Amino acid sequence: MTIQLNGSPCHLASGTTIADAVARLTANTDGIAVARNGEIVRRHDWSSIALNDGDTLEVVTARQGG
Amino acid sequence: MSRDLLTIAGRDLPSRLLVGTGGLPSLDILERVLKASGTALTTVAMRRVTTDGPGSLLDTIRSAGVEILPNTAGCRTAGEAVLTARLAREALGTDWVKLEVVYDDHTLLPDPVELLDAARQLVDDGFVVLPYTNDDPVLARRLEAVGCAAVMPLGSPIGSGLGVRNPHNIAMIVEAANVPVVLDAGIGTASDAALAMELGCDAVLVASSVTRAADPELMATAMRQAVEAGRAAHLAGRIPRRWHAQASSPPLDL
Repeated sequence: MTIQLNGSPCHLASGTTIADAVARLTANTDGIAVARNGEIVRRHDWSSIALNDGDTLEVVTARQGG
Repeated sequence: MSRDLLTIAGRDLPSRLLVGTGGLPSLDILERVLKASGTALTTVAMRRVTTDGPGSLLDTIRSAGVEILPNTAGCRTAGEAVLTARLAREALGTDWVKLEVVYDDHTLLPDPVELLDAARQLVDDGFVVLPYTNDDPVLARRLEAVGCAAVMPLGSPIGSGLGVRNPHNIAMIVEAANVPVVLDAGIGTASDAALAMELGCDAVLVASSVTRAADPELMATAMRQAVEAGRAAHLAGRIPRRWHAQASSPPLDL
């Protein structure tokens, strides 16, 4: 299946969870939040929710900014 | 003036200077700027994770003992801003948000329609909303009416360093507000921050004026002193302006 991971297409095995996808980006999940298809997914749900083909996943963190 | 605390949404803050973290070349300088400024609250933006190590910025701010205020910089619509605020709450564990909804990249001026809509939605969702707003006394009252915990009018456009272009409007916002007024955006140098405080603002937020100064740490010190001086001058009550001189020495009696 293919999802949009932070704006780029990403090919993943079916059954891949949100936690798996986040791990592809970073090992440090302190200060990170995830939105799937425009909805927040709480951290404790990351490992129990499998992604679907066509999902959009945004993984964000704090950066320097005014 | 022993305990002249800034209180926002029931939280006492020991400093009336808020500092933005954008534009500094290193986290080492950020740490020194935060300490020199004496700030209790510093802003961060929310952006996509690109590489490992997102924790270092947060570690730096936390080790400086400063609270984090996420912003919604870069958002153009209420929908984007609400999602960004919710991401920030999940990522950083705070329900405080500096709400920014700008109309275009050229002016970075707030879009009042989207801003008010986003503010209403976020207040309803339990956020402590600090909106970056125009120097418009009516919009400031509208934002307060929907439940914002403070209003943050601009002195002039973000990063312009043009100072407080409409002191009269800022004074009118202060006069009508029942929530703290934080002068946000446009500060160029220390005297601008002092003027904002003299006008009765409860606090000042600085970013570019410090982070892009030739010596950010020294400018952070200057801003801290300016905010303290301006606050003291406001409380002290300045003399009225006069057209002609008035001698301060006793009349000549030789």
